[in-house]
Amino acid sequence: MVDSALVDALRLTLQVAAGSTALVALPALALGRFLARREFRGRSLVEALAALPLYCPPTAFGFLLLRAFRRDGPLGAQALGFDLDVLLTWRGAVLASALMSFPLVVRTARVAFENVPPRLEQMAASLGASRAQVLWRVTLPLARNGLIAALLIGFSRALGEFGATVIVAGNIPGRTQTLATGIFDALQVGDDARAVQLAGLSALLGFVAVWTSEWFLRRSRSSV
Amino acid sequence: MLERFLRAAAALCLSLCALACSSDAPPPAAVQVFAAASLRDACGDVAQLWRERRPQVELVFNFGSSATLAQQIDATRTADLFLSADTAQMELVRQSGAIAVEGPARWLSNQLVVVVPASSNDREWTSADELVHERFPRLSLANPASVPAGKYARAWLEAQGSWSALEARVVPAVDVRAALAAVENAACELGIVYSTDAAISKRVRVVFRVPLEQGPRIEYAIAATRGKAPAPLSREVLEHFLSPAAEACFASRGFLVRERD
Repeated sequence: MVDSALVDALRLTLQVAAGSTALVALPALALGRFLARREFRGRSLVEALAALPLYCPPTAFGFLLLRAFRRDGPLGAQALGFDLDVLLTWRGAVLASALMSFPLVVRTARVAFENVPPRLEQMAASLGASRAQVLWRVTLPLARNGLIAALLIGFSRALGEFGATVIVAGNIPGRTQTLATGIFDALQVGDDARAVQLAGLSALLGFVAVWTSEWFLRRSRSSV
Repeated sequence: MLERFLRAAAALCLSLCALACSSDAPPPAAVQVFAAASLRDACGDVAQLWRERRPQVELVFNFGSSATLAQQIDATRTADLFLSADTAQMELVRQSGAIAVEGPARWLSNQLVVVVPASSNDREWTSADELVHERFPRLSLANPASVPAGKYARAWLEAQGSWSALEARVVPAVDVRAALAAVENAACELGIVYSTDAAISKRVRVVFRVPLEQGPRIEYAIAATRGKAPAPLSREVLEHFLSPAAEACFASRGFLVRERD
């Protein structure tokens, strides 16, 4: 017998983590690449800002997003003239998870790009490859395993996101309730059996995702 | 073998990402009901009745403290129906301009009870004076600063003259069901919740029922609110909640239902 509430929570968790990974992929990899290759004034400032979600409580970010997207907030329906439909929807959970997983993806991607020997990129350029060609033909293929690992780490982080998510997306069964927020809900109503199921499933899911990313990380170190 | 598995796992995760970007199937017609935590089980019964009547329209429930729900409604306008455990939270929603159709006054009422963990040696008290006894170092309440159940409990304790003695022992919970769970887990030796909450739990025992004339008047309020569902549909769900069959559900869970005209 499969509990439909459990299936809903699992489906939403995967959907949110996947959406969040898709959302951060491009900006996080781009920033990772930028930080790996550029030296500039204020670089440490950019790095510290990008890492903010790592050391700031998720609830602070949840609060920030809530203020921004609420009806009368700067990104709310009144200011924009239309409703982005972020608060109390799964999109809100995606946004919250994306924000919280962003720094992990940036950091892992940066290391992956740093591991690509600049010499190889310079050689390709001296042989007449354009910057785009260098990126596409040399850098990305060499950094590939590390970048996949970066995305998987972001995916894992998103799987367990709670603090910002519960504020922005709420805890609506079948709509916005993920494994993480479902555990909290089960605890609140004293349903220990459900909490155990959800926690076990979360642990399993997180383990597989992190283990897979570790595997890619190891390969990325040996391949370059 | 392992390599294959890991590659497959990675491919799965990443293709899920691609899928998540594309799949946003239009949901079937749904009405979002924001309901006070204490109404959780009764709402399940009412939803069952609704499913039998209108299976094509889904009722989506968001349970929480009425205070949280009122804030959410003010911030988002995603609720189509609001079931509040007090009139103060409904008033907030009214001021926010979110009410579409107001339900009847004095829709439901409830009673406060004092509960202890089922493992406790305490049996029925003869008076509420026991509350301040030293064997109860922690008192579980829904947050008395905002949550209706906590505010009612505080009003009663103040009227008893025991609030000042008990205030430092209060362990606030996010809603009344969380306050109940704290007593179920014996994290608190004592709790004050609604009688309808105590009735759903085998892990707590009621030691004192606050006489209705001594406690504050507990008034639930209901209204259709301006959400995403079409207004006539929200109104239909409101009418369903006010139907004799639905009110029988609430009564069977121990709620005091308004007198019908």
